[in-house]
Amino acid sequence: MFPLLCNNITRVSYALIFLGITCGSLKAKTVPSAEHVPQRVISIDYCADQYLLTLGTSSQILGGSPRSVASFSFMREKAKNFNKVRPTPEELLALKPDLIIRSFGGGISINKFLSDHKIPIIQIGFLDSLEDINQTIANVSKALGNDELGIALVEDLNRRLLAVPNIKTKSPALYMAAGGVTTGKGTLVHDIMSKGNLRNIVDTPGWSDIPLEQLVSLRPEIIVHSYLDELTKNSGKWSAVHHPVTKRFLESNTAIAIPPALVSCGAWYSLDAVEMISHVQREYKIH
Amino acid sequence: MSKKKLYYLLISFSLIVIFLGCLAGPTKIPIITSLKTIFGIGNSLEHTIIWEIRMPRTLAAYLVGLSLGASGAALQGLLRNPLAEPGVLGVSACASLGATIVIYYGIAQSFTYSVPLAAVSGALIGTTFLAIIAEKANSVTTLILIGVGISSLAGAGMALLTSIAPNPFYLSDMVTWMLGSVANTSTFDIALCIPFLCVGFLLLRKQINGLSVLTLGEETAGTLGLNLARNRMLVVLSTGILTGAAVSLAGVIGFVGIVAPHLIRPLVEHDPGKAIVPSALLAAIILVVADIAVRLFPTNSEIKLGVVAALIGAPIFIMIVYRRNNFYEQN
Amino acid sequence: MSKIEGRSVTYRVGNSNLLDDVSFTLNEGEIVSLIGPNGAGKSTLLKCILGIIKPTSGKITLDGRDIQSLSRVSLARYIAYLSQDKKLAWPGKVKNIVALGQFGTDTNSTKSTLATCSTLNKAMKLCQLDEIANRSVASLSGGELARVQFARAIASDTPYLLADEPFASLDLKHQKELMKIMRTCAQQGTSNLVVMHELPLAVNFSDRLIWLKNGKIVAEGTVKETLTPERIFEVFEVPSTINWSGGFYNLSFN
Repeated sequence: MFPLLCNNITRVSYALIFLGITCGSLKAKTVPSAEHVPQRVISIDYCADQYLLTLGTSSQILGGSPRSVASFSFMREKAKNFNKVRPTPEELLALKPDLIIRSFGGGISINKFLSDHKIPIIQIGFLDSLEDINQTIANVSKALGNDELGIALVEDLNRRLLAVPNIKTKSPALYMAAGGVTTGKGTLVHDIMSKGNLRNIVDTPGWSDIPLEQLVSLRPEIIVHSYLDELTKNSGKWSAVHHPVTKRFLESNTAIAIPPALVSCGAWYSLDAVEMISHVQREYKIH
Repeated sequence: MSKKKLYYLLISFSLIVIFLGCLAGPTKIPIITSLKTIFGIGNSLEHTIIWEIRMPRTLAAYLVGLSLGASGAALQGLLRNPLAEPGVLGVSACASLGATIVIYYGIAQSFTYSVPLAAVSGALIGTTFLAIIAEKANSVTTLILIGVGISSLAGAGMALLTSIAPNPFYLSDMVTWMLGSVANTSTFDIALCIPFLCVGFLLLRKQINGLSVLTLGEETAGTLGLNLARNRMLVVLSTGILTGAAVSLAGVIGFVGIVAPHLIRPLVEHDPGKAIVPSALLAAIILVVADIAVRLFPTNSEIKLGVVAALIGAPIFIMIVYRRNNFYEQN
Repeated sequence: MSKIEGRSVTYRVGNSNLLDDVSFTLNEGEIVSLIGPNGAGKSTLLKCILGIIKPTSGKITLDGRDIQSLSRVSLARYIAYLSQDKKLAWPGKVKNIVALGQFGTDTNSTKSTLATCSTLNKAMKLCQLDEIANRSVASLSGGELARVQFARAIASDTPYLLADEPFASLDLKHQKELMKIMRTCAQQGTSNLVVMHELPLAVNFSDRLIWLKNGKIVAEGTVKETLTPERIFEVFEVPSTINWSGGFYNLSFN
């Protein structure tokens, strides 16, 4: 009997152990553990780079895009410490990443390629407003397993935004990009300008050519542009920036130069641009 | 149509379209006010819009049209081919490449005349190469295919420059080079090109009779006293200079140099020399009208002038090729 | 008396002489036909006289002056040329195409403008082009086009006219028509040197014949002096019979 009992006990023990393992493994799937937080993350364009470099830990970052160190990349200093990976299917596959962060890099078929090879991607869209940015921060930080970091960042941004004083009479303004284009409704720059208490004179949605005639007829008091050094030096031959009318405007009106890194991609530092504009505007009103 | 009547019509239309060019734009200015401003009475806002924004671009379109129309007619006379034109034959693309090199390597900033000079040099390389090849090319098709090749090569050169250029905005600049535009032209830009346009026209003027007599073929024309080598060289030189100047002002604008001579030739009894000046005037009128259309068409970003020129000109080009009657086929 | 003279003209290309020691004279008011088989050097000789080709040795003179030393412009005042290639690049009007023949003329003074006009009118009239003066050359028949080209050549009002196969692809009627115009010009003093393949036409309308074979002059002289069946066989390697009847030579080839 004792052997029979022992046999039964053994069988039950084995059964219990088996059950335990099964339950244990089931539990492991539903609760995030160290294995499911991505540890080999690559960002494949300079917009995605900003998010990875801010919201990822150093151990998670496998590499960033070659332009992560360009002058218009906000996180360029930190980016220097990491590998640069060209967003080609070959190079990405060879590195065996467990998460890709992407805004526009790699070409139109990269998403399909990555999903065919079962590599998770988090797609950041083109961000048109500060609200979009907050949402993206939350999404990316969650995907990276760093939720708290994301939440804290968003809270800070909201607090700072509330601190920007609201002015009733907003000055008419125009944004000039070096390529000779300006922006109207539905773009991030437009949102930044509005939250900085400027009234964008351009009502055409999206990006359009700098309207010379509107410069003259609507007379924006403030010109916002995105190059710290001379705007003309970075503009190609066809830019409206070279026209004598535009030059007169730049000379005679208040021009706010925003570092290109702040507006090249929508991210948490876009609020810096709002604060900058608001500050200059207040000074302009005072004087 | 008599010569006098033709010129009368062309010059009248020129004045009309230039005038309309001063009236057309996104800012609504009443016609009476516009008229007053054109004649010097008006406030500074309207004066700025009409004299500093609309007039320069209208004049630029006119001058570019003059150059391309004359160059097209001249090349057609020299090569004895109704499909010859700086755009189609790749000359404009070469000019564009020349100018692009100078701008992207920063030379333009230190020496203002560098852009038109570089454009003219590029155009001259293109026209010289064509003139040499044309002697050996045994058919129209060969010549045009070579032109397509030259155009593609120059375009590839520009694309290469854009890939290695440091500034990402240069991509949109390149698009404008290849599609053509007179938006944002200032009087300074025009003034920069005027010397080149003058030299080009003066050189071409003397070759008009020579181009007429080339109707008989090179051998016969030579026996009638035409200095073939000199004629060829001067036509090549003048069309290169005119095309280069036009491209430095407005980028690559194609087909208008085919359309205008094609429409004018029946009115000048198919004399290629006599077609030059009227073709220049007609091409100028066409381009100003195209620029007005570009300004008024309701899109976010202005359509490029070269696009409208191609939309008008390419179908006519295809029609000429398709309907090339027995006369041209035999020749 | 104006004349063009060629002395021992040789033109060598590679190892062969396209013209070999050719000497000839061209006088005022005559029609001289250059006859010979293909490749005999007929067109080459014309081009040497026109200065388009430079002879390897020998000299061609116009009124004693070496043709090679004359500019194209001066030569154009003396010699008009009807090329073998009659194609026109553009479908212009008849009167304008004919007027192109006056390209080298100095039209600065009123006097010369009047003279130019009258020469033009004369050429148009002589070639019976008045009725079709305003028609496009694209609408013309072969015969009409040949007359237009000829009118263009005589509109230059030059003492010499060199024509390379002006009768090619013309029917008999138009060949005779053109020959008659040439005869009228000769009577008015123009000297015509014509390359042609139409032997019956040549023998009945020319004043002199120059027979060329393999770059050499085989015979030169009046029709009566040089036209024999032996000569025809020597140059063309075709047996023939010659009959004289009603003032015309009739040639038949066996």
